[in-house]
Amino acid sequence: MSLTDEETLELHELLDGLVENNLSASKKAKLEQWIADSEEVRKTYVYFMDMSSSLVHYADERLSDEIIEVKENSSFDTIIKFIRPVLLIAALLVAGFYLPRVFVDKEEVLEMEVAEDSLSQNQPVNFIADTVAVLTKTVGVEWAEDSSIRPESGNTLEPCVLKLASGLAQVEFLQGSIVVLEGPVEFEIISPNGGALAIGKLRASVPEVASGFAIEVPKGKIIDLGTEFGLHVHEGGSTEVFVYKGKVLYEGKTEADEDIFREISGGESIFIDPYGHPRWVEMPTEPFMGKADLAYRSMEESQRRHAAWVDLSKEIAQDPKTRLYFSFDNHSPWSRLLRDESTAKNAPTNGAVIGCKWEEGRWAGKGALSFKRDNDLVRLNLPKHLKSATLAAWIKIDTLPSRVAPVICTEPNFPGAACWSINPMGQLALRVTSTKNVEIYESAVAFGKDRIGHWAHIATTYDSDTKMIVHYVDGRSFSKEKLEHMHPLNFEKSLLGHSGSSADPSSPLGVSLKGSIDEFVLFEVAYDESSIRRLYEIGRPFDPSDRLGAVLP
Amino acid sequence: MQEASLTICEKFKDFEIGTNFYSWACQIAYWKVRAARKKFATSKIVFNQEVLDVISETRGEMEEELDHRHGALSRCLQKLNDRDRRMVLTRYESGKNVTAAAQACGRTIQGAYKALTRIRKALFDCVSFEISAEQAR
Repeated sequence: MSLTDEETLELHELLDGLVENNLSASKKAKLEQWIADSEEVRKTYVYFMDMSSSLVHYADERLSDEIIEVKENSSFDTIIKFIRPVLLIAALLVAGFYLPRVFVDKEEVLEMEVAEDSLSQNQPVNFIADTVAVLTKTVGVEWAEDSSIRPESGNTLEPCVLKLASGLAQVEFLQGSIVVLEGPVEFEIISPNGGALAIGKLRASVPEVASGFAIEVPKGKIIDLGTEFGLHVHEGGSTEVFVYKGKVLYEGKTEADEDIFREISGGESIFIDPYGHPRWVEMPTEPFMGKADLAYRSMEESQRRHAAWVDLSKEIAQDPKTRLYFSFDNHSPWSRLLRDESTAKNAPTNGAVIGCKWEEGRWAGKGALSFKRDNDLVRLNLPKHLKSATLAAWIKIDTLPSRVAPVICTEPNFPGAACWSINPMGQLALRVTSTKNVEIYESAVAFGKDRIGHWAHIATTYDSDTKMIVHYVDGRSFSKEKLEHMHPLNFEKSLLGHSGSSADPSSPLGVSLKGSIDEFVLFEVAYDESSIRRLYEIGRPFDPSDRLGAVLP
Repeated sequence: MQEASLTICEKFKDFEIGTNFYSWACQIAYWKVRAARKKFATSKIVFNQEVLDVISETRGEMEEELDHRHGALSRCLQKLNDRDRRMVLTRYESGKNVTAAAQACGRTIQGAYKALTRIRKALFDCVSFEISAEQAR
């Protein structure tokens, strides 16, 4: 008998869960039984897993196309040709118990030994440490001194223990539950749908899709039945459970090994003493912070940071060393004029916006210019040449460029003409045309895939006194280099977000930025590292993801 | 899977020319998986041996069909829009996960999960349709 449409959908849901390692024990048991009972289900399972194997093959093939590395080894190739179908079988069988791990994340592997049998030689096999949650928000977090990890907002989390001395942290489990931890707290993330609270407070919000979310407490565990609840584990091991809506089940044991089950409904609260005995109580002793409270505090924090940036922005505008300053703020959505905010000089150097669209910048309500099409640009005219300079900008790039991602470039190529850009390797680069040739000063690789689509602060200082050029990303120095020849930098007739025109496809000219800019400043001095760091620290949006660690040189 | 292929390469010298290479290699893969299963019998997602046996048997009967499906999948991937294709191939790329796919395509993690479910179903249906169309010709 063939499967109904509903059954087919359910089967696909189970298979998806299997591949993504999100399958609860009961669903896994159902799938197993279904596979055993129905040939059609079995075949669908084989098709599905075979498709996953093929997708791995095609994904690797796509990678191989990008990184061409052909090794000629005819005998090995012959074996591989024979082995491919066998590998698919192995994948399929393996799928029955650890395929989800194989497909989840191959970045971090734990070596584990495989039991010996008549054929194996006890070789290590690679197993995968999974991402199970994401730290999505933090407010005033201080990590405990003995905390082994100190993730930042935006970091993915594998099974780990979070120890907060103070502050609030919001963790989103991959299965959909959201937990707000309130320091001091010690919370272990165990799986995509569960954890353990050793001490402290949390509030959990569990959507229907994550039903079954479980949190272990000292004398038992709380199993969610699709709801929102608060937990407080006190020193000494007593626990309070308060259910805001829906239902939870408490399963525990007393010291006398007596099984305890309590179903707790919305508005009800229980207190479990250190010996495991529960009793009904009226209200929790203290309120629990929820995600709405956290969002409110985040908003307050964001507003506070925005206010600090507004002050900094005024300071930059009034700095006598500011040659050009675009804050991109307070422009109407149809504005074709980009206002130079610097007030220290007589005539502002406003830019002419061509093609670009206005969009929201790194603060809610702040403007930014989006450069999407080939001829999106801002045309400028800066007559004064600069012996020393600091270029700084907040940018967001949509894709790593195939040629360059220009931030500001001077159109004509005469001595001192400069082009500040990010190259295809993800390096920040300043190209300067000298009388004899073109000099290119590049940073270490700063932009990887993890920075794509996120705001980043870039800066470059060009110092004629020390004859040094320094590149910075997010306030940190990424390279320091001696200048080969000194030329006053020339930004006359320059373009923001475009490298200028060229008919030669091999030339870096004729390329536009694919991304957004929401602040740009040009100082006529080379500021030091602490000043650049300050521009970043005050200017960074509230919730930056921690991408620096992985790409520091 | 990697270990199975390594063992097959190591033991290739023991393979008797004239016998069935495919059956020989399948035996190795099968026993490797059995061995690993013993170790991980307590892990979260484990199918019992009887189920693994029937899957193995069913899979063995579908070899030719699966080869066709592998080819059809390539065509179906080309039918996806760029964003969906990038999403699914990034997800299955070595060293990548749903988070990476979400980041590569500018989606939230939850959004990426939903999108991948939709894309896999679309690919599955497309491959089945391609195979039916092939058979009808």
